[in-house]
Amino acid sequence: MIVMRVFEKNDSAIVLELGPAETDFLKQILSDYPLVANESRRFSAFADADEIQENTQLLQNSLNEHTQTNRAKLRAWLAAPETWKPFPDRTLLSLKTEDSSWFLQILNDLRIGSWQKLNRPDPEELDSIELNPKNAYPLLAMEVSGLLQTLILNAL
Amino acid sequence: MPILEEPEITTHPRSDTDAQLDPGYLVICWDDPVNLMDYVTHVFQKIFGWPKAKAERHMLEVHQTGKSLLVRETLEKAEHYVHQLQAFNLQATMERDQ
Repeated sequence: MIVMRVFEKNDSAIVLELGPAETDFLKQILSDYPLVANESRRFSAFADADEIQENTQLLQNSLNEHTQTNRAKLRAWLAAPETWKPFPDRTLLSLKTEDSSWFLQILNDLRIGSWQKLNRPDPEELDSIELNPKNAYPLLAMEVSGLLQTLILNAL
Repeated sequence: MPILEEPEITTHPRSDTDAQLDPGYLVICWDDPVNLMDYVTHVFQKIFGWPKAKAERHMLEVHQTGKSLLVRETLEKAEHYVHQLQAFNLQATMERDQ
């Protein structure tokens, strides 16, 4: 059972309560960001849309810069003492409301990147996938990042 | 029968009106099997400033029909929106309006 819930919500922040194992695992998967490669993105559904394809490289470069900015912000956030409030049996994770969309974006990258590592299974079949040493980590990463996304979205 | 003078034909440089007649670019969001529905709604609200009901309507259209036409914009603005949507890992493209 995953121990993770909204502990407190006010106008300025969402505080999440995590169990010790969940805290360690969340820190681990956040250190994996980014997982989704920008190089595979398409900006037009049609290969012959010349004027759009010309801009593909610029858009990819722009997304790469965006990802690097996110990564730097994530590292600073993870290292900030006010982010984590540890107790013997739990940790409180504080997220400013103004950062919620940014953090949802990070979690979504981890969720989709993990799904890609699992060879893009139908999400309805995830529960029936047999665990093995290779798929356990991305499966749990999908579960934890998705649960956190849902908790934050419901709290907003 | 009155005699008509031949009209004087002059050419003008491309004006703002021409730009307004530009067919524009359609920003489309495509369905994918993995993004959470509430997340997609949130992203639409965040990027376009839409009320929740409108964002949900487009999210459901994506989910039920495979795609939703979100906005029609100039090339520059369409690129901006596609960049934003893709930064949130939504499958968005832009197509020239025919």
